[in-house]
Amino acid sequence: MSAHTLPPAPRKRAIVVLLLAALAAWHLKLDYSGLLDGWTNLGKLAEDAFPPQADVFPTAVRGLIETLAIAFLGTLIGFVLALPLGVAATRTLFPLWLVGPARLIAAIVRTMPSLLWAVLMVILVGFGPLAGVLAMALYTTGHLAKLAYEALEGLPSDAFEALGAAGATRLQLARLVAVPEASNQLVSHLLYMMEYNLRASSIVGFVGAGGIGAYLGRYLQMMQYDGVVTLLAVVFVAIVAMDALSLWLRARYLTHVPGQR
Amino acid sequence: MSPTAVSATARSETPALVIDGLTAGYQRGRPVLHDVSFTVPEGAWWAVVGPSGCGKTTLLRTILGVLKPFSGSVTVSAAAGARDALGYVPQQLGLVRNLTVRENVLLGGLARLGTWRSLLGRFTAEEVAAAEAALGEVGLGGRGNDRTTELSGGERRRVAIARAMIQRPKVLIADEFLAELDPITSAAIVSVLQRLRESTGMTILCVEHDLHAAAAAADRVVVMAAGRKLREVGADELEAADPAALFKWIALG
Repeated sequence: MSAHTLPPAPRKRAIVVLLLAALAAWHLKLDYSGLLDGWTNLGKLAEDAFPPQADVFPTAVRGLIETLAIAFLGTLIGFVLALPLGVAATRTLFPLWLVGPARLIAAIVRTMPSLLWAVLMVILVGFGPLAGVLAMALYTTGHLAKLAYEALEGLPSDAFEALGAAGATRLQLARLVAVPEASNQLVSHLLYMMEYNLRASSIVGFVGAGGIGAYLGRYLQMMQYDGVVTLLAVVFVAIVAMDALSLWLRARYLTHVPGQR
Repeated sequence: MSPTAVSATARSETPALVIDGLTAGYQRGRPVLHDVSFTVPEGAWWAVVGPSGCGKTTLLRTILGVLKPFSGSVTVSAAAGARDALGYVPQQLGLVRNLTVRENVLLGGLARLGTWRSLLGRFTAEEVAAAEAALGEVGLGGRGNDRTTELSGGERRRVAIARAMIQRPKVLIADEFLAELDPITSAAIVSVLQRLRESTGMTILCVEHDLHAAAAAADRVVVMAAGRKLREVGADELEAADPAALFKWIALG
């Protein structure tokens, strides 16, 4: 009997990965002296940034409220669009002529990161929160549609077969069996997306799509790091609060249902 | 007993479900079911019995139209053309966990609900009353607001029966209806179905792996092995025999 190592047994693959890492670093011609500069700069930055500028606080809160509104509207619109798209993309319910195009639309919308959507929307509708809302909504649509059809396809087929035999149409099965049965998962995805969009929408301001990101960009350009720190602290608190809220909502409304995946 | 119940109890010889030379499977050229034929008369309760893997479920799926037969045909002669003529209670029941008991029962009537109304999820007061009545019939009156996850296995099965009753099918198809139930619950469910059959004249075809459970419920049993119909026996003949000798007797003829 030869010796045996339980997987993962990495040796050969680890060498390949390390070689690729070395190749990547060589290609980028990384200047490692920057690390030393970074250390000294960090000291200077800390001096500039502290104490945080308290009078930026009202601006930060105003920006945050705008960001929250952008994230909320974007997520909501995205969810409303994603649900029918995701249902139409469910292979266990609908024929390929509907599933194919629905999946294609979802995939195309999902491919672009939300920041690029924001750039595009600023070009299309101009600077301001409308561009942010549209960017969030589009990205959310693609992402939630994919999560939705995966959840719907994972449902057991017994109910579909029983009610299909009883003469129910596919549309009826989708609305009255599949969506209620997957609703816990769908709501869970919605909460996850709200968390994600809050993070993403604090950035879209950099490209002029509204929210706290616009102020972050401005203070960074002016190198007023004490203001930047105030803004970052407010974003940080908001994200932690959103995660906590989402956790509480899940515990309150989702986990007590037996049989939840 | 009402006159209609009497006429339904008197076994007619009008065929309700005709299975003719049915050959079916999941891959062409590799049939799981070979040339199966039988005719279930209206108002009768028949059972298909055989060991696991003998093609029982394939037979049900072909009857339901989920699977297209390679050759042969299935005719529901009791109601030509009606798309809700067959009722189906799957082995796993197919209840929707996030809906209440009453809502699950209401789903049985979907075929009669218009597309737009059903997309809004609107059910009329009469439909709700019919669902309550069906729940009363299966002994679950007043449990309409419960979640199906709060019910026992036997109670869940009765919800699935109530759902099929709302549909008012001509033929009820049930897969492993009595499996995994204790004898008392099993007997209770059989008597509920017997009563419903008497009052509506519905035909029942169920699939069971337990010969005795099947014989206790059905009038007649189709015995299957390896995708073929071995024989058809009356339930009274089965009840007389002792269980050990029974399978031998059937297998050897």
